[in-house]
Amino acid sequence: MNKKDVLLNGLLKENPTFVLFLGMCPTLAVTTSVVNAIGMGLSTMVVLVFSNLFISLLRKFIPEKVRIAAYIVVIASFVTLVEMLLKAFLPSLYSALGIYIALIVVNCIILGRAEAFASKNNAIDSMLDGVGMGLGFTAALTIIGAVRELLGAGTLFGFHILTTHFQPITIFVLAPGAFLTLGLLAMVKNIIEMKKKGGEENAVD
Amino acid sequence: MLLTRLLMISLGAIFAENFVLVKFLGICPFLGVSKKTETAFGMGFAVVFVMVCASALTWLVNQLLVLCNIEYLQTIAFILVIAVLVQFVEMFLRKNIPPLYNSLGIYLPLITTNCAVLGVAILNITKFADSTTSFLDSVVYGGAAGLGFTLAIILFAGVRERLENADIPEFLKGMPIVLITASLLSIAFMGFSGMSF
Amino acid sequence: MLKNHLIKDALKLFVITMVSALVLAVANKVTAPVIAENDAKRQEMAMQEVLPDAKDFKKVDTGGLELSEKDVRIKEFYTGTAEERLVGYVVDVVTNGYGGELEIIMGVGTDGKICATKILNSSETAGLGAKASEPEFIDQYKGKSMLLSVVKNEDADFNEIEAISGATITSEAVTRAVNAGLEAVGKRTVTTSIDISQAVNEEFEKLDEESHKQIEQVEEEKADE
Repeated sequence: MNKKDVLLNGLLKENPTFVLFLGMCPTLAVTTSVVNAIGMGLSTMVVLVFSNLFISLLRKFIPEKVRIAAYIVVIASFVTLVEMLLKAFLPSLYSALGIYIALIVVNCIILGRAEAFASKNNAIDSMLDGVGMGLGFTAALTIIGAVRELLGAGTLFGFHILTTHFQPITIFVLAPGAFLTLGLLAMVKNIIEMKKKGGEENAVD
Repeated sequence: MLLTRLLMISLGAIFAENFVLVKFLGICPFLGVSKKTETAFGMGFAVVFVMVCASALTWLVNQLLVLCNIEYLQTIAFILVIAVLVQFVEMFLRKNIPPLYNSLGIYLPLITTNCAVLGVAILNITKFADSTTSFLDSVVYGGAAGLGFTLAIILFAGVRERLENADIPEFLKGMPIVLITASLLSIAFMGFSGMSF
Repeated sequence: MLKNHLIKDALKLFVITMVSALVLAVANKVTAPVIAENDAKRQEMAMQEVLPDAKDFKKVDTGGLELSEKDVRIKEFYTGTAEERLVGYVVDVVTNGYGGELEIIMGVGTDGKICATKILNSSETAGLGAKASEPEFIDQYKGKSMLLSVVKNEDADFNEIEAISGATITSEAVTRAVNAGLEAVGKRTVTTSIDISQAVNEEFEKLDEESHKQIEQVEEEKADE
């Protein structure tokens, strides 16, 4: 794959949220508002890019038998670094994301990419993969966050968009709404794909 | 009284603050292992065991971290403890209960990345920071959280087994129907949220 | 042979862990003071906001304070002064809300009435419990000086707080914290009064002794003559 393909892979073809269904916990938990969603997505991307980079650089040094433990140490270190930086320079985002910052460590996306990509490719490609997957994840989170915040609170980025006659459908910002939004968006994606496939089959005829 | 307090903590963790359906911890295994009730049972109890041991061990490790003033190493230390613990559980099951080991398959090592386990370790520290019985609180909370996870996963597996025989529209097959079902289960658990613990 | 491999692997893992720990130690050294400074500044600003007439704040130890409300904790207690004169008190109370810990800060004047209340930390539900930070709800506490209860209807009495519709638990949590703060101030004022009257008594006793001594002296001199 050339460099552009590596980057775009994470955005569409192998989007971590809508295709691979990885990293579900933060996806459902922090998408109550667009700001939180973007914050979480970007934080995860930073950790992903740097852990991919370092794991790729160290791929000849890390022994095969203890590789998962080694990946975890590298990933956990970067998560702790991000945590410290957020706490010091962006305290409001830090308290909004809460425990889910630390949980970036066990975000299956990062461990998954380390195992599937970074351990087998060079540093530059690994970084690009990190950026692509990170952006794909952030985009997915943002879409979900936008739907939930708009329908559940009538706001976007904290600004009231739907006012006066719109009664917020509060369930969207609560736990069930998270499952529901993701399920409905997955359904929309299925419909789009089926239409595309149906279109191709008709074209063949 | 201590017993009442522990009971309250347990009931809170299992119902009102269910780890999967309310706190969104442990979603990946929840969506992945809940296709059959037998596997769900096995996974659930493995998680309970790991969570109880992890709660105890991480409590001890945290005391050490606080003593040496290196609390910022909490995340690394905890996840390493959990990884080692799961490794031991894996070796134990492979030797002593091979059928369970085989049926859990790849999901066993994945307990390491189960956010519920790391989540409960971190929550123990923040929740019981001022408690005089924090070790007991942590272990009980860990076990109860695991039981809540098990309850959710078994309920869900039961529903999914029924769904297998249902006539689902093409565009809902796969993840969409699973997630929508989870949302209905989550609504049901919201009924517990009025109970204060 | 296998044992050698295991040891080599373990050693490599150990090296990676040590390097990571060192990097984090450095990062911690750099960020910890910034974090502490930010927290102190935030606290200072919040205190000024809830007790605007005060210029200086002094922390007071309230360890062992027994409160009638359960599930609350007085995190910090300050006296606020302006030019050596006591203006009021600032109490930082922590309790459990719907989604987690709820931390409020409140300013109480020397007349026992709340100047203002502010929510410092909360993880309540957006659109429901989070509305507690809005003036519509939080300004209800201004001017109150007695223990409050929460009601759901719109006709709140002078000792009642109207709950946020759909967020009763959050409303009750905030009220619980405010009540605990008022109780702490009450107990503190009593203690202060006792301290003051004790000090006054001691002064009087001293003056009494001195005047007795003077009277004795005068009588002695008289007797000498």
